Amino acid sequence: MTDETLLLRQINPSFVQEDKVSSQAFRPTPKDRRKLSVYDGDLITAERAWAHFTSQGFRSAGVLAVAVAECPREQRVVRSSPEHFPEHAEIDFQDFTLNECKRIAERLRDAAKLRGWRFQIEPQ
Amino acid sequence: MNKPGSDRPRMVESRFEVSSIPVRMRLDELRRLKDGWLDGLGKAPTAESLDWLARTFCAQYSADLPRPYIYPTAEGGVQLEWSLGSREASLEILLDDRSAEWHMLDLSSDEQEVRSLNLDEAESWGWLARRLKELAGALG
Repeated sequence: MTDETLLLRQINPSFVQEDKVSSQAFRPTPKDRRKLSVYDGDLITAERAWAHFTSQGFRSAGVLAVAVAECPREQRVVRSSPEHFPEHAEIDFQDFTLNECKRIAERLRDAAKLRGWRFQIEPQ
Repeated sequence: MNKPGSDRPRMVESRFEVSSIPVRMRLDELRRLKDGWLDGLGKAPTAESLDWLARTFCAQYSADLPRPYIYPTAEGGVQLEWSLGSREASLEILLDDRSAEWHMLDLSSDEQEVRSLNLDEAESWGWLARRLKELAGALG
Protein backbone atom coordinates (compact mmCIF):
# COMPACT_ATOMS: atom_id res chain seq x y z
CA MET A 1 0.00 0.00 0.00
CA THR A 2 1.39 3.43 -0.99
CA ASP A 3 0.22 7.04 -0.65
CA GLU A 4 -1.41 6.68 -4.08
CA THR A 5 -3.34 3.53 -3.19
CA LEU A 6 -7.06 4.07 -3.55
CA LEU A 7 -9.22 2.96 -0.64
CA LEU A 8 -12.59 1.82 -1.96
CA ARG A 9 -15.63 2.62 0.15
CA GLN A 10 -19.08 1.09 -0.35
CA ILE A 11 -21.85 3.70 -0.26
CA ASN A 12 -25.18 2.72 1.30
CA PRO A 13 -28.10 3.78 -0.98
CA SER A 14 -29.74 5.71 1.87
CA PHE A 15 -26.64 7.93 2.03
CA VAL A 16 -27.25 9.13 -1.54
CA GLN A 17 -29.78 11.79 -2.48
CA GLU A 18 -29.75 13.10 -6.05
CA ASP A 19 -26.14 11.87 -6.46
CA LYS A 20 -25.09 13.85 -3.37
CA VAL A 21 -23.41 11.55 -0.86
CA SER A 22 -23.72 12.13 2.88
CA SER A 23 -20.51 12.68 4.83
CA GLN A 24 -21.79 9.87 7.07
CA ALA A 25 -20.65 7.46 4.37
CA PHE A 26 -17.09 8.26 5.47
CA ARG A 27 -17.62 7.88 9.21
CA PRO A 28 -17.48 4.47 10.85
CA THR A 29 -20.87 2.83 11.38
CA PRO A 30 -21.70 0.84 14.53
CA LYS A 31 -20.65 -2.26 12.60
CA ASP A 32 -17.24 -0.70 11.92
CA ARG A 33 -16.39 -0.16 15.64
CA ARG A 34 -14.71 3.21 14.97
CA LYS A 35 -12.80 1.72 12.06
CA LEU A 36 -13.96 2.61 8.56
CA SER A 37 -13.94 -0.51 6.41
CA VAL A 38 -12.56 -0.11 2.91
CA TYR A 39 -11.14 -2.29 0.16
CA ASP A 40 -7.49 -1.97 -0.86
CA GLY A 41 -7.66 -0.70 -4.43
CA ASP A 42 -4.23 -2.19 -5.20
CA LEU A 43 -5.72 -5.65 -4.67
CA ILE A 44 -9.25 -5.45 -6.08
CA THR A 45 -11.20 -3.39 -8.60
CA ALA A 46 -14.13 -1.23 -7.57
CA GLU A 47 -16.60 -3.43 -9.44
CA ARG A 48 -15.28 -6.64 -7.88
CA ALA A 49 -15.31 -5.00 -4.45
CA TRP A 50 -18.96 -4.05 -4.97
CA ALA A 51 -19.79 -7.61 -6.03
CA HIS A 52 -17.99 -9.02 -2.97
CA PHE A 53 -19.79 -6.64 -0.61
CA THR A 54 -23.28 -7.14 -1.99
CA SER A 55 -22.82 -10.93 -2.16
CA GLN A 56 -22.82 -10.83 1.66
CA GLY A 57 -26.33 -9.40 1.66
CA PHE A 58 -25.28 -5.76 2.18
CA ARG A 59 -26.61 -2.91 0.02
CA SER A 60 -24.35 -0.57 -1.94
CA ALA A 61 -25.21 2.15 -4.45
CA GLY A 62 -21.64 2.08 -5.70
CA VAL A 63 -18.04 2.68 -4.78
CA LEU A 64 -16.21 5.92 -4.03
CA ALA A 65 -12.50 6.16 -3.29
CA VAL A 66 -9.97 8.18 -1.35
CA ALA A 67 -6.21 7.91 -1.62
CA VAL A 68 -4.13 6.90 1.38
CA ALA A 69 -2.45 10.34 1.18
CA GLU A 70 -5.83 12.02 1.67
CA CYS A 71 -6.34 10.33 5.05
CA PRO A 72 -5.19 11.91 8.32
CA ARG A 73 -1.40 11.99 8.53
CA GLU A 74 -1.07 12.67 12.26
CA GLN A 75 -1.04 9.00 13.13
CA ARG A 76 -0.76 5.88 11.06
CA VAL A 77 -4.50 5.39 10.64
CA VAL A 78 -4.66 3.41 7.40
CA ARG A 79 -3.73 -0.24 7.55
CA SER A 80 -4.39 -3.52 5.84
CA SER A 81 -6.57 -5.85 7.88
CA PRO A 82 -6.57 -9.12 5.93
CA GLU A 83 -7.93 -11.06 8.91
CA HIS A 84 -11.41 -10.14 7.56
CA PHE A 85 -10.60 -11.02 3.92
CA PRO A 86 -7.44 -10.46 1.85
CA GLU A 87 -8.42 -7.11 0.29
CA HIS A 88 -9.81 -5.59 3.50
CA ALA A 89 -8.28 -2.41 4.91
CA GLU A 90 -9.41 0.12 7.48
CA ILE A 91 -9.12 3.77 8.41
CA ASP A 92 -8.85 3.96 12.18
CA PHE A 93 -10.89 6.76 13.83
CA GLN A 94 -10.29 5.60 17.42
CA ASP A 95 -7.93 8.41 18.38
CA PHE A 96 -10.20 11.21 17.21
CA THR A 97 -12.99 13.10 18.96
CA LEU A 98 -16.49 13.10 17.47
CA ASN A 99 -15.99 16.55 15.93
CA GLU A 100 -12.61 15.53 14.54
CA CYS A 101 -14.29 12.47 13.02
CA LYS A 102 -16.87 14.75 11.39
CA ARG A 103 -14.11 16.99 9.98
CA ILE A 104 -12.20 14.01 8.62
CA ALA A 105 -15.37 12.55 7.10
CA GLU A 106 -16.15 15.85 5.34
CA ARG A 107 -12.61 15.93 3.93
CA LEU A 108 -12.76 12.34 2.75
CA ARG A 109 -16.20 12.84 1.19
CA ASP A 110 -14.90 15.94 -0.62
CA ALA A 111 -11.87 14.08 -1.96
CA ALA A 112 -14.03 11.15 -3.07
CA LYS A 113 -16.56 13.47 -4.71
CA LEU A 114 -13.85 15.22 -6.73
CA ARG A 115 -12.52 11.84 -7.87
CA GLY A 116 -16.01 10.63 -8.85
CA TRP A 117 -17.69 7.24 -8.65
CA ARG A 118 -15.30 4.34 -9.26
CA PHE A 119 -18.29 2.07 -9.79
CA GLN A 120 -21.99 2.78 -9.65
CA ILE A 121 -24.91 0.49 -10.28
CA GLU A 122 -26.92 3.29 -11.87
CA PRO A 123 -26.87 7.08 -11.58
CA GLN A 124 -29.16 8.26 -8.81
CA MET B 1 -4.02 16.20 7.17
CA ASN B 2 -3.33 17.36 3.67
CA LYS B 3 -5.98 19.10 1.62
CA PRO B 4 -7.38 16.66 -0.90
CA GLY B 5 -7.85 18.00 -4.36
CA SER B 6 -6.03 21.24 -3.57
CA ASP B 7 -3.96 20.83 -6.74
CA ARG B 8 -7.04 20.37 -8.88
CA PRO B 9 -9.56 22.96 -10.02
CA ARG B 10 -12.82 22.72 -8.08
CA MET B 11 -15.91 22.58 -10.26
CA VAL B 12 -18.26 25.40 -9.46
CA GLU B 13 -21.67 24.65 -10.91
CA SER B 14 -23.75 27.01 -8.81
CA ARG B 15 -23.50 29.29 -5.80
CA PHE B 16 -24.41 26.39 -3.62
CA GLU B 17 -25.80 22.92 -4.02
CA VAL B 18 -29.39 22.43 -2.95
CA SER B 19 -31.74 19.51 -3.12
CA SER B 20 -34.67 19.74 -5.51
CA ILE B 21 -36.69 17.07 -3.67
CA PRO B 22 -39.32 18.56 -1.33
CA VAL B 23 -38.59 17.82 2.31
CA ARG B 24 -41.85 15.95 2.94
CA MET B 25 -41.22 13.68 -0.05
CA ARG B 26 -37.71 12.84 1.16
CA LEU B 27 -38.93 12.18 4.71
CA ASP B 28 -41.57 9.86 3.24
CA GLU B 29 -38.74 7.91 1.56
CA LEU B 30 -37.15 7.46 5.00
CA ARG B 31 -40.41 5.96 6.32
CA ARG B 32 -39.74 2.92 4.15
CA LEU B 33 -36.51 2.08 6.00
CA LYS B 34 -36.48 -1.01 8.19
CA ASP B 35 -34.25 -1.76 11.16
CA GLY B 36 -30.97 -3.14 9.85
CA TRP B 37 -30.91 -0.81 6.80
CA LEU B 38 -27.21 -0.02 7.35
CA ASP B 39 -25.26 -3.23 6.84
CA GLY B 40 -27.64 -5.04 9.16
CA LEU B 41 -27.34 -2.60 12.06
CA GLY B 42 -28.96 0.76 11.25
CA LYS B 43 -32.02 1.70 13.30
CA ALA B 44 -34.98 3.01 11.27
CA PRO B 45 -36.57 6.32 12.35
CA THR B 46 -40.08 5.88 13.72
CA ALA B 47 -43.14 7.13 11.84
CA GLU B 48 -44.10 9.32 14.81
CA SER B 49 -40.70 11.00 14.94
CA LEU B 50 -40.75 11.66 11.20
CA ASP B 51 -44.27 13.11 11.53
CA TRP B 52 -42.95 15.51 14.17
CA LEU B 53 -39.95 16.48 12.08
CA ALA B 54 -42.03 17.08 8.93
CA ARG B 55 -44.56 19.17 10.88
CA THR B 56 -41.93 21.18 12.74
CA PHE B 57 -39.73 21.69 9.69
CA CYS B 58 -42.63 23.04 7.64
CA ALA B 59 -43.61 25.38 10.47
CA GLN B 60 -40.13 26.63 11.37
CA TYR B 61 -38.00 26.47 8.23
CA SER B 62 -38.52 29.31 5.80
CA ALA B 63 -38.96 28.44 2.12
CA ASP B 64 -36.31 31.00 1.14
CA LEU B 65 -33.57 29.06 2.95
CA PRO B 66 -31.44 26.57 1.03
CA ARG B 67 -33.22 23.22 0.99
CA PRO B 68 -31.17 20.57 2.76
CA TYR B 69 -30.21 17.11 1.65
CA ILE B 70 -31.72 14.62 4.12
CA TYR B 71 -30.28 11.30 5.22
CA PRO B 72 -31.04 8.77 7.94
CA THR B 73 -28.49 8.16 10.68
CA ALA B 74 -27.41 4.79 12.02
CA GLU B 75 -28.98 5.64 15.39
CA GLY B 76 -32.52 6.17 14.04
CA GLY B 77 -32.20 9.92 13.57
CA VAL B 78 -31.96 12.21 10.58
CA GLN B 79 -29.08 14.30 9.28
CA LEU B 80 -29.63 17.45 7.22
CA GLU B 81 -26.72 18.60 5.05
CA TRP B 82 -25.98 21.74 3.04
CA SER B 83 -23.12 22.50 0.65
CA LEU B 84 -22.61 26.25 0.72
CA GLY B 85 -19.60 27.08 -1.42
CA SER B 86 -16.53 25.85 0.43
CA ARG B 87 -18.60 25.26 3.58
CA GLU B 88 -20.12 21.90 4.38
CA ALA B 89 -22.77 22.11 7.09
CA SER B 90 -24.74 19.38 8.79
CA LEU B 91 -27.42 19.12 11.46
CA GLU B 92 -27.55 15.71 13.12
CA ILE B 93 -30.99 15.34 14.69
CA LEU B 94 -31.64 12.91 17.53
CA LEU B 95 -35.35 12.30 17.13
CA ASP B 96 -35.71 10.65 20.54
CA ASP B 97 -35.12 13.88 22.45
CA ARG B 98 -35.36 16.37 19.56
CA SER B 99 -31.85 17.66 20.14
CA ALA B 100 -29.47 18.39 17.30
CA GLU B 101 -25.78 18.94 16.70
CA TRP B 102 -24.75 21.58 14.15
CA HIS B 103 -21.39 21.09 12.48
CA MET B 104 -19.87 23.31 9.83
CA LEU B 105 -16.49 22.89 8.17
CA ASP B 106 -14.93 25.41 5.81
CA LEU B 107 -12.92 23.21 3.46
CA SER B 108 -10.74 26.13 2.37
CA SER B 109 -9.64 27.23 5.85
CA ASP B 110 -10.31 24.12 7.97
CA GLU B 111 -12.37 26.34 10.30
CA GLN B 112 -15.00 24.36 12.22
CA GLU B 113 -18.15 25.47 13.99
CA VAL B 114 -20.19 23.31 16.35
CA ARG B 115 -23.36 24.05 18.32
CA SER B 116 -25.97 22.07 20.21
CA LEU B 117 -29.61 22.91 19.51
CA ASN B 118 -32.99 22.00 21.01
CA LEU B 119 -35.43 21.71 18.13
CA ASP B 120 -38.42 22.03 20.46
CA GLU B 121 -37.38 25.68 20.87
CA ALA B 122 -38.17 28.29 18.21
CA GLU B 123 -34.95 30.06 19.22
CA SER B 124 -32.90 27.16 17.86
CA TRP B 125 -34.71 27.26 14.51
CA GLY B 126 -34.17 31.02 14.45
CA TRP B 127 -30.45 30.58 15.00
CA LEU B 128 -30.30 27.96 12.25
CA ALA B 129 -32.12 30.24 9.80
CA ARG B 130 -29.84 33.19 10.56
CA ARG B 131 -26.70 31.09 10.22
CA LEU B 132 -27.79 29.54 6.91
CA LYS B 133 -28.69 32.98 5.55
CA GLU B 134 -25.26 34.28 6.57
CA LEU B 135 -23.49 31.37 4.93
CA ALA B 136 -25.59 31.49 1.75
CA GLY B 137 -25.42 35.28 1.62
CA ALA B 138 -21.64 35.24 1.88
CA LEU B 139 -21.58 33.49 -1.50
CA GLY B 140 -22.93 36.62 -3.16
